[in-house]
Amino acid sequence: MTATMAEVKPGAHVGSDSIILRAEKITKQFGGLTAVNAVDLDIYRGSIQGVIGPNGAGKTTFFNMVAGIYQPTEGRIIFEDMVIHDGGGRSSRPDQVAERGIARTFQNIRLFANMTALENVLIGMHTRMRSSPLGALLKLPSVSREEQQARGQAFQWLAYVGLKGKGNETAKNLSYGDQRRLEIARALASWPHLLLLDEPTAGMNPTEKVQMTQFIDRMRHELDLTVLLIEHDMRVVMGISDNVAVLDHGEKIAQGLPIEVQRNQQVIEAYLGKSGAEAAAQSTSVRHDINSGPAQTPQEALQ
Amino acid sequence: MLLVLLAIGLIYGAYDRPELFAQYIIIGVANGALIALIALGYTLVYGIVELINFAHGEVFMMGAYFALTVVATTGVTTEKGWLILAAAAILALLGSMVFSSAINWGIDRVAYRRLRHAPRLAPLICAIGFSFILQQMAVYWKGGNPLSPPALIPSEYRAYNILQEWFGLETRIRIRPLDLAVVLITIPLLILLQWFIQRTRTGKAMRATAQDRDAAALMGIDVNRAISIAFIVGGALAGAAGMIAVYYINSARPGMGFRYGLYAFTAAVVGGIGNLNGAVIGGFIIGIAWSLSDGFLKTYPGGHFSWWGAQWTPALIFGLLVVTMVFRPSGILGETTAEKV
Repeated sequence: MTATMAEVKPGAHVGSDSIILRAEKITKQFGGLTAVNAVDLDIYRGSIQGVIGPNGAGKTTFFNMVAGIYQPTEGRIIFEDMVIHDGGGRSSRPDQVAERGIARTFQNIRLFANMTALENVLIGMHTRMRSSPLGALLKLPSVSREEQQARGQAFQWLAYVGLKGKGNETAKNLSYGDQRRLEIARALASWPHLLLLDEPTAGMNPTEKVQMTQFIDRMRHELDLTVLLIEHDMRVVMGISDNVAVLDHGEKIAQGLPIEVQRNQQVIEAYLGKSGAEAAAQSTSVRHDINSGPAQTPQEALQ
Repeated sequence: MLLVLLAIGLIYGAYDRPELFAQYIIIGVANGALIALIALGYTLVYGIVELINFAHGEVFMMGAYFALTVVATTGVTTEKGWLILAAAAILALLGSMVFSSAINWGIDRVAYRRLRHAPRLAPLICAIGFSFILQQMAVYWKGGNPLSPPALIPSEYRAYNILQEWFGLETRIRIRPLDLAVVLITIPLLILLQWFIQRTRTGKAMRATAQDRDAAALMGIDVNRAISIAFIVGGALAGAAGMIAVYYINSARPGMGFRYGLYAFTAAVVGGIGNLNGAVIGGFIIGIAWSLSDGFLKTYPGGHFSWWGAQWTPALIFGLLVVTMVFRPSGILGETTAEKV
């Protein structure tokens, strides 16, 4: 079930340790519907990889396969030289994926709403802690020391995402933006190597979006992270991604630098439809686009 | 309407015959502690997998049988010193906790886990099936007749009144060592459980799993393990209740799990299923209602309720359930989408 990167693709023009995650011909079918169709994607260590596409393009399905919620029908996913999901064979469970160093946030926030912010972060640390229920029962010193350290660290994570002093608030009472931050803190607490962000700026106002974008970039540098980012908002994706892949109807139709992708005719058509793309070529005032915010078609974002 | 009348009657009765009333409350509290222990097992499992584990009453019954077996095997008699007797009691308690949790864990491992993504009805029917299997196993193991446990409490202490002997109170209210023991075993277990669920890493993992199983898995929590632990903890509490019950009611029979199980389930629902504190509160409510209905109501002065008897107890308890369901469907402490464990 395991294979080294060298076996997987001999002669790849990049060294094996510069690719952190590789998806090979990954396919997911739900009954007769093919949600993701033979998508290849290499994510380079330390980069921010954007994934964009219209609604229903298969972005979240792709995410869920990486995270282990769905088992791919075909193809495989290799993370840090290990095959973690194999369409023909075994797939890792979500908790095993998390243990390997992949953490994620959700499009629709899924915090543990009735727990405090601190507890949410502590749960994020779950995989990095070792205490067993028996040890806790016997109050072993190692367990209480670990617990103390974990709490200290959890407070630091909260401060890092800008939730200082809000550790004891119940998650559901936090404001929307704070809940998003808390989700990121919870994901960071497991010290992931790869962070999956599913629309981190959804529902935010323009100022918050800018802050979040800057924060993602800062995180990447300070914490040595690789980020896989799904986003609807073109400005966010184009602003921070090193590389952007475009999905449409389950297939990858383009990939490259943000600027390349923006000029790609196929991408513009996927977003606006064929006639829309022609119209957009003539006029920049087309508004039947993917999102509610202003200036979000690829062309407009470019300007 | 009837319940309101009953309540008025009880309040008047409590005023009129306070000692008798207090006596039945004490019995009710001891009974309630037992029910609470069992109810916690229902509520823990429901909270985490949304399954009403109908085999839970039988897990409790098996615990009772195992406790009885352990004490019989040690061969202690009441002539031995109290230290040896206490050691035998603790051994039986721990033994039945381990035994019951092993059964509960086994049922989940063998059956429920395979049905985790099946329609809800499948594991439910499966649970009812296990309830019958365990009952028949108990019949096969120990026979169908009620058994008395080997004596652990010296006979002179059976009717010993702590209030009179220790505190020299002139009262007819009687607290036996047994009543005290029930509460003294139950309370630490409840505190331990609260601490385990609220404070430990495993407890947090269980709460997270109960709230959002997928999100918990993505945080690196082994969901199956968290669920197994819920079954183990619930089983251990049922085993402890079994050990206590076999001495408190001084008999064990294969059908005992049915009534206790149903009452405990009612307690869990009345308190708000999925809520641990709710199960405890529900347990005490049902326990007290049970003892008042069995004893106090018919001896109530004036004879207005002389027709009342223990045969009406199930009607009263399930009446409480119906009233709860009508006026507060989520139970006393339950919220509609509340924290579950």
